[in-house]
Amino acid sequence: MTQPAPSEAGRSGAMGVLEGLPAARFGFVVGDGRIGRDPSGHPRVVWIPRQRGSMKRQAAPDEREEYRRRVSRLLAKASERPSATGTPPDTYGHRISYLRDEAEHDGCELNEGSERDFRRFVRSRPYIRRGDLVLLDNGNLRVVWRDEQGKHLGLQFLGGSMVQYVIFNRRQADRRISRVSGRDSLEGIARQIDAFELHSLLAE
Amino acid sequence: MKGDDLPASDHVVRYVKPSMIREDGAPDGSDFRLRSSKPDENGLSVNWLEAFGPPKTQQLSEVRRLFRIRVRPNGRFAELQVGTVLRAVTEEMATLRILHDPLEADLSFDADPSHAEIVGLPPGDSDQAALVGDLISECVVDMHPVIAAGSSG
Repeated sequence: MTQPAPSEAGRSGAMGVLEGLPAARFGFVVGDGRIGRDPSGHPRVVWIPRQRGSMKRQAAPDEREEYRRRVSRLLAKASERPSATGTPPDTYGHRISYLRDEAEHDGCELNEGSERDFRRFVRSRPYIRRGDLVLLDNGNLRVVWRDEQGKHLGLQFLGGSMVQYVIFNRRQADRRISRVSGRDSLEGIARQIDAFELHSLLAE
Repeated sequence: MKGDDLPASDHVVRYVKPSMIREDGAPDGSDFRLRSSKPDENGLSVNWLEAFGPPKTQQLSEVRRLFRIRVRPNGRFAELQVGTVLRAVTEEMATLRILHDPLEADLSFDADPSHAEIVGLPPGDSDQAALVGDLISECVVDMHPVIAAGSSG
């Protein structure tokens, strides 16, 4: 975590300065929050007291929370845009930020291992369409793809490179739906997708 | 009466918290699993709409009034038809039932004659629970606001 420059600490910056900045450039002080990175490498806001002369202003908890939410939303929106450096946009950044907020509100935490595995899975398949992402009570992320033909792939990222899957697939031969669930490694899930011919379900 | 199976043609609603609601507004199947963090939990709480007289707006209004869990304003009630759920899940497991479980009044709450439970579900962290949860979520016929329009909450 970088230490704020004294001249910047306490500056009431407009939130708009964050618009459009790629995540890699975050690491400066805006208003009363410092934007750094959490252990998983994602931008997070860290509150610092505003210094006025020898006085330190301690903000009310709800003010801190509101500030943190506003900046988190802006960070997430910025990260979803394609950057000038060619870094792929983070299509789930805003959604994960929202779910992280919800988790904190419910008194639980997003499982960082689950998020890491989810991002690894998505990065390994840059051309898949966006799935529906939710957060479970246990802090794990779950993403679901479905189509109008009754195909369905649900993946809960358990952490430790393990995934719980649910697959509904309509068989071509008799049009019946087959349903399976189980656990597999991240690499094994790729084989399940192949075996159940789910590529059309995931295709953009 | 307590313990009776609800009629197949009737409807129940289940509160879905915001993190379990997909971006298209439908609930994820994970909301229809027992929670592994609560091993004593035997069933999923739902509210039986036909415990109150029609119209549906009145039935929902009564559910909201008597609901005992603190809800988030961006949560939703997912509506399911009893028979549809039982038919869908029976293809995978035969133990599922939706039973009337009215709650008596206590010092903090009025009696809730609409409370019911989905019982016979597999353990919450099992792979079968994930499959059954997704099957139930596909039976959702409507989503309703937790707080009625125009209400201050």
